[in-house]
Amino acid sequence: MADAMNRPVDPASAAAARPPASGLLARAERLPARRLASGLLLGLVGLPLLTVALTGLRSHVDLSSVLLLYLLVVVVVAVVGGFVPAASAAVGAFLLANWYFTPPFHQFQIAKQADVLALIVFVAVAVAGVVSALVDLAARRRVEATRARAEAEALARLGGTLLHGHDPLPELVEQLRVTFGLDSVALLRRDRQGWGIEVVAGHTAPIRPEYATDAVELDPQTMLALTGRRLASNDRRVLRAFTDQLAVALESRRLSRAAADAALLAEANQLRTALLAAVSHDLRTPLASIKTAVTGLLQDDVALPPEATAELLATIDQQTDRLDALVGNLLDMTRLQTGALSLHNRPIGMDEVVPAALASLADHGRGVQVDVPETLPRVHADPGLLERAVANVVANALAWSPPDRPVQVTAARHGDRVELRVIDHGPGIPAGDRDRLFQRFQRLGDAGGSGVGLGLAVAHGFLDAMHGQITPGDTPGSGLTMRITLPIADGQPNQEAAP
Amino acid sequence: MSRVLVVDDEPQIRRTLAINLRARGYQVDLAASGEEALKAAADQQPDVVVLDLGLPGIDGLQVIHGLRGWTQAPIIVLSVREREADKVAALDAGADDYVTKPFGINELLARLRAAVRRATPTDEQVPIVQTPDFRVDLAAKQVIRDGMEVRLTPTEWQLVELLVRNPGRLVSQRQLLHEVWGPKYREETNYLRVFIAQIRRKLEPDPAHPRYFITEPGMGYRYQP
Repeated sequence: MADAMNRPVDPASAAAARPPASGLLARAERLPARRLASGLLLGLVGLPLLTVALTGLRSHVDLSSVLLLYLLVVVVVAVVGGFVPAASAAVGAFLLANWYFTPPFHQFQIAKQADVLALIVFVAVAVAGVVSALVDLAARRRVEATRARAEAEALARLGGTLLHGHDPLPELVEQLRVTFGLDSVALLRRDRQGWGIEVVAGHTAPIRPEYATDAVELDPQTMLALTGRRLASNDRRVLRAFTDQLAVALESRRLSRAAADAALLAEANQLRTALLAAVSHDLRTPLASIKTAVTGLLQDDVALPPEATAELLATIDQQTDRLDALVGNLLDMTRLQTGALSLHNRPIGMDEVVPAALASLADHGRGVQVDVPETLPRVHADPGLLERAVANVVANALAWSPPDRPVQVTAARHGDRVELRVIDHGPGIPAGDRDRLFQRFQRLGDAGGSGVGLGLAVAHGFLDAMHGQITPGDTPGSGLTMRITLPIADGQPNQEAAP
Repeated sequence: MSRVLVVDDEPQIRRTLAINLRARGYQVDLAASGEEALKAAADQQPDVVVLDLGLPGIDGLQVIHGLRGWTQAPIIVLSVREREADKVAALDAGADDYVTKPFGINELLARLRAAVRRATPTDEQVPIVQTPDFRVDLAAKQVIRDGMEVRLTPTEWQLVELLVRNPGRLVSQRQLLHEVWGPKYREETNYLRVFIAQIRRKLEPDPAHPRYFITEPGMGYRYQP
């Protein structure tokens, strides 16, 4: 353990462990040791070789040519090895020139004034050249570093975009546009008519790949079209990262669309199954009574007593009414679902609607206790639809009421709304089941009740369309109280509207 | 006369059934829920039960289980549920027949008669079953059609005997498999299809439109005299 901790740190692994951003910056300012050594070696080998070659030609070349050649070596050393080898090479070249090429030869002395000047100029030029070469190099490296940092940032943003849960396509495309400073970027999808825009960023979207400055194929059906400046070749690497991410995002968009479609289909299927079950039960139950009564009447093997015949005929009469009401509700529901409902809202008094609703019920809603004051303000509603809604709610209350506990219908004003209460003393509905009460074709259990599957759903749909509300609640003791509220029509009380 | 317990939560169905059954001399008791049905069955000891499946409270299926705990009185299910799974579940629970709503009163009366006939065992054997098209001699194990003997395989014979001994009554797939093939056979309804088809080819005047050996889809077979 202690051994491992005391082990000297390997410089290579230490360098690798540094964060990449500081690595980029560091590389731009400091050269690796390998290049420093190469520079020194170049100086050490290059200068003596040049000196040997030049001493052979000493009578043919003058000092200025010699110094120019030395300068060349120094600059090359500077480019390869940086400042230290270059400065060493410059000093070396100065000494070599002094020793071999300024009379008196082979002494560090200079006889001619002109030669002194030439050597001084040489050193000055060498230093200046080296520095300028290095500055230029550093500047270029800095540009590269900046660029690398920008790339890294763009890629990091790109990675982040895909990590968010929502559809990343619009953001990706906008990022692409901003990163490259383009006018617009569009994802085009091939369809039957030609090209459709899947996503776009910027103002002047290219609607066809031909209109783009640059176009990249993501897959056979999808093109990335860019307008604005033409991308440089070194932009391609980042562009490639963008196109990769775009392809992933496109695929995920396609998958989530397919999933949404499938969920929608499943929901539609479920609704259809529920509809079939509800229709099958609600239509067949009265049909069964009718069929039994009719086939009983048709039998001639026994003579039915007159009161039995009358009862069978009465059953047929009631059950055909019930079937008619069910078919009416089915049509209303279909109208609601297909949006074919036409509303004719006008001010109407609850005291007009409630008696009409009761009259439409079997037995004319006999036994229902009504307390709807005529002095209540009128509501804004479609009289026909409101009547159907109220009738359905009262019919449901009647279906669940014990014979000795009548259904009550009361109305009162609450602020800018009128509330109608339909109160029954039946078994009631547990609070947890009330959400399902108004679901289309939802019946709470397939047993009992008549037409529960449709009536309340229709009432809910109608009231919703008229900006009304229907809320189930408890009747104190036992039972269900349905509260129907509707907005008051312009605050006009009932009697003032009379001419 | 036979005593019938009618169980249905629809008052109109109870009323019309009661009128029709009483007119034909049945004693009728009525129940509107599963709880009432179990209590009435215990109190009145009905000869046959006509039962709706969709009941408030205790479901019809549970009523069948409850009744089968102590009585073998035939149970005829009346229901709007027409899925095969519902029928199979009711028959497997112990129901004897299944009639889907809406139904003609004739059909229900015929099923009732068949159910009551089976439930009241008579010592009197039916050694010979005669139809306009063929004659089955149960004692001699012989089938005659157009004056000629029809050769049946042992399996075909067992099926024919089981069906004609229960005229008008639904014999469930499971019962046929159990009695002809053995207790291990429960799901092999394809055997039944094959053998019934062979029987029809041998006995029915028009095998494609059977007149005597009727298929009740999902439930079983019925011999219609």
